[in-house]
Amino acid sequence: MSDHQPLVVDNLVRRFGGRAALDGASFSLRKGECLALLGPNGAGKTTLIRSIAGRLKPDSGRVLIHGQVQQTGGDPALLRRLGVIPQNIAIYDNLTARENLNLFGRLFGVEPADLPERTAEALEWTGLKDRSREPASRFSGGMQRRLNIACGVLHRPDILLLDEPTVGVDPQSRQRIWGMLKELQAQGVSLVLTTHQLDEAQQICDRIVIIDGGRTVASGTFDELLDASIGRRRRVVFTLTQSPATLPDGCEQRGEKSATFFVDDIARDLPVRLQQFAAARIDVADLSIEVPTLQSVFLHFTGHELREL
Amino acid sequence: MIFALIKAQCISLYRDRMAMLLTFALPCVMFTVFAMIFGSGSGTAKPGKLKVIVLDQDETRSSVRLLDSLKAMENLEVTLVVNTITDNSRPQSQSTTADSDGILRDARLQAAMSVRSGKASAAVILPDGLEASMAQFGQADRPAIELIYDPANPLAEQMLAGVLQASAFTSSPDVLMENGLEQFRTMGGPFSALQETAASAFKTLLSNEQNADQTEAGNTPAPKGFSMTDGIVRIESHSARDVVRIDETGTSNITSAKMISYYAAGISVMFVMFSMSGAASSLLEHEERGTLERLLSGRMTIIHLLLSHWFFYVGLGVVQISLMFVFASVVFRLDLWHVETLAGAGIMALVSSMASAAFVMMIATLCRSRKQLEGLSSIVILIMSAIGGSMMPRFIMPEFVIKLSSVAFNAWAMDGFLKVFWYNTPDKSIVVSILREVSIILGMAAIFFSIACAAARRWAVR
Repeated sequence: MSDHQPLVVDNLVRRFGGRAALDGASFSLRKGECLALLGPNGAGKTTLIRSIAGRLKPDSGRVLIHGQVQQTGGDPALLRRLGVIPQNIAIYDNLTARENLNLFGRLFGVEPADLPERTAEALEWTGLKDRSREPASRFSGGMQRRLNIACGVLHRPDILLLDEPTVGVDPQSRQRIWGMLKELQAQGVSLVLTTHQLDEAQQICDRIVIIDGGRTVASGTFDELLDASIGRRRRVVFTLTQSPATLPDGCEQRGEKSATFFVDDIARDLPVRLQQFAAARIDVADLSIEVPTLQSVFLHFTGHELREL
Repeated sequence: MIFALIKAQCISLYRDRMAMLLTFALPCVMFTVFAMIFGSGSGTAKPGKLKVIVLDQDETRSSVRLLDSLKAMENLEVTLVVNTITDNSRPQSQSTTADSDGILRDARLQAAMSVRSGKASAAVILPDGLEASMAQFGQADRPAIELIYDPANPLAEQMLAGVLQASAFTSSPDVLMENGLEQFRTMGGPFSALQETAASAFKTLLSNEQNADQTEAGNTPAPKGFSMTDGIVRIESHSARDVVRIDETGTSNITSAKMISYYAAGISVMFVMFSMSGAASSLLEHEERGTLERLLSGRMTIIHLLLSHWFFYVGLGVVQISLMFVFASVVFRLDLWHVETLAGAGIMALVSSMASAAFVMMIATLCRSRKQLEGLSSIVILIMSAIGGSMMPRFIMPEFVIKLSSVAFNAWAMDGFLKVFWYNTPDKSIVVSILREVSIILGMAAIFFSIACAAARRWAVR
């Protein structure tokens, strides 16, 4: 199991006072997989990440890393296989990129002899080679985020936990960061990340785990989640030239001059609907097709909006 | 691992030029300011004078002599007030004669108002009939010299009361004798011719001596070694440090008598505590920024983290104290450059920094935010500095405060530094003489560090 599932979270429960931050959260991570951990604010994502990293002691349940139970405080041997990228940019502002990498490399167990090579690789990987001798305080938010990630992977972990790795950066920097993570994934690193960028999670992550109220409410690939929630049907919206007296069966009026319906197969069902509207002498001025998104799926499972979207 | 974090903190400090300036230049500036206030600058400046207003309602030779005697004192700045009022706010400085009781009361009130408004520290009113009443012991209704003082400066009252008594004795011995003989005549009957001649000769002698004192060229100099104006007993004051220097030239380790040596200890310990409390806020900054979470999610433990910060702060403290002492040595001629003094100062700088670092880390770990730390540390350090003797010598404090100060590590640190720079234990070397202080401070440092570790457990796995 451990070869294929480097990380297993099994029914974790953690309470703070009377409130359960984790209330039976479970999921597993496959080797080389990118798994998105989604949930509204306060759902328990950060608590889950901290529990996996050994920074929080669960009240019950367990975390298995390569088949071994993660101990309270973290087993040093297991910690070496784990990389944690915090949501905050946790680097030293007054230190240069190279100095930050050297420092965190040493703190996370990289041998001094290996440090120059690892640091050089990390600077290349983050695109900060040319500015390696500048204090991090002079970097843009995107550059600091990249350095923040690099500081957490210098010891070459095979499981990487990322808490909101792209929060607060521009689209170009975000794309660069996703590119870096894809490179890691290609090298066999398994990624668990929390994000509020649902569109990117949908495109980039192999599987998605949705957490709400400290519990895992859904998990699987995007298609599996679609099948388990709103289905794969497309919503079609017709914009009409005038308000219709009646609409064909299976259609709903949306606004005064708009009608909507679902189709399973666009090529087969859309022409039939157009004919029905023509026969009813309802002129269609325009149409749009709404593809099911992760946001729709997310709302289906959690029932409320992400507060930071 | 600990070294890596210490190195990171050193680099961070080096890169932050303003922090560097505050850390290493500010101590020297602060030292200068405090030295000016407490240590009389370079040791040559004189203390501020006590401003005294004198209202002479007697205007006799005795009152004038008393006034001259007060004026001659170095630490008094005497202003003579007239007995008539021409200005509502300021007393005049030229003497006139009182015309009525009302004017006299106005002049007295004006003098009191000057004290009340802080323009003078005290006012002395020499009443009408003062000369006649001198040495009239046992007469309760005889005119009294009135001393009006500012309750904010009670020392001025005590000092002036003593000065007036002394001046009364020394400025008019002939009047005292005259009045005393008059009392004797009243109570014991008239003198014989021989007694009258002797009294007259003695009075002439006293009078001439007084004139000689005032003009520095007496008509009939007093016999050498004989003086009635020295007071009831003759008093000479000497600094113990001067006596040691005179008697043990070449054998004593202490050769300088500069007051700055006394205050160097207090200033340095207090400043290091303030400086370190600022540095200790980096612990809470790490927590707020998430760096702490990252550091602790690796191999680093709370103990590693606290030790790395503690070592860094200790190093910082030692450098700061050393810098202050070298600065004081160069600018204020602090006596530092002897092997024993250097060794003692080095040991005290090290243990004081160890305790200071542990103390501020304890406060930092007990606080939940940097704002809390700023407020709490300022209050705690000011209180500790006050009871520990950094602001004023402990020997002038109430007994219970002196006892209370034994729980303040900075009081022990100051005692240790004083043994290095100020006191001189003849039968012990400086290093041996500070062993007790060093042991107590190290014990306190261990307690502070233990509390810091316990408080920092909130950052560990929960």
